[in-house]
Amino acid sequence: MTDFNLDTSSDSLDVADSSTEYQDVGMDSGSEINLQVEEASERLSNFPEIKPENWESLDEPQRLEALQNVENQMAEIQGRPALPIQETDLPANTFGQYDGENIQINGESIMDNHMPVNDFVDTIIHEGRHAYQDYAIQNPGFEVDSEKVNQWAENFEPGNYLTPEEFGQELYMNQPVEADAWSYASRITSAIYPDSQGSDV
Amino acid sequence: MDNQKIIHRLIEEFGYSEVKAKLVWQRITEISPNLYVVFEDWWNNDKQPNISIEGISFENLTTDFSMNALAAFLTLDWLLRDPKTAKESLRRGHDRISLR
Repeated sequence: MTDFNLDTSSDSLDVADSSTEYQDVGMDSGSEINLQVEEASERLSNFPEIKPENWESLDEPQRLEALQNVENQMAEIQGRPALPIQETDLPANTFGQYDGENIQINGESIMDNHMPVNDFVDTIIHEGRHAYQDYAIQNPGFEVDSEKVNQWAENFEPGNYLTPEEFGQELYMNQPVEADAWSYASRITSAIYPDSQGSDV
Repeated sequence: MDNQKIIHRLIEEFGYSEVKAKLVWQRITEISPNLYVVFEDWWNNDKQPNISIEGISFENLTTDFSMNALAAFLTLDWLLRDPKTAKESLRRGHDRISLR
């Protein structure tokens, strides 16, 4: 077995210009996201059922109900209709699915106590962000950053979505709808569970 | 290697559209030189890669993560370049979108 161990420490990073110019044009997309993250973190941190010590004692219907409550809160914060949370059969390593009408989670993992509750919450917030993206595409003006919405719309077009099975994990993660959903969910989950393993991706 | 033949094979054998085949091939040509050697052996001689990066093997990616060989090579290259992000991303798996 070959195990590469190359030195990648000299890789350079492109650093975006962090200067800020304020314009009096109402709330921008970044500010809106910051407010959503702050509100979601505050509300969800007060949900006892998604605290790790309580989650483990919940049965399957109680877990689904807890995750539905997370989705209901997130939908309210984002200003879109809440979607039903369902269990479904998904391949291993596929934790969630958004089908345009429902948020589905992997039925095999719901009672798996090796999977931490923060991963479930992250999945619901992530799929809910896809619902937000879809809602923004269907309702022009709902999301203030129209350029971002155009990128999402193009990415959602048939044949444009990059699956990890065909394109690898990096291209999958970095396409517009996934980069946005991973970043958004990760910010909220990290705020609710500051001591959890894992990192922002 | 003949780019036209490669694109044709990616379309015929792996089912990519022409645009996607070009994207995948461009990314493959950019992978680490050491990894590219392994890729060439697989591409030209059908030699099953016996390779692991950061504890994640080609076989893990093609079986546990259901990736095709091209996707697995691209992911191994990401593990080389940015192991922390790539490993955490693989740990979290992925999702699926199936719109109307």
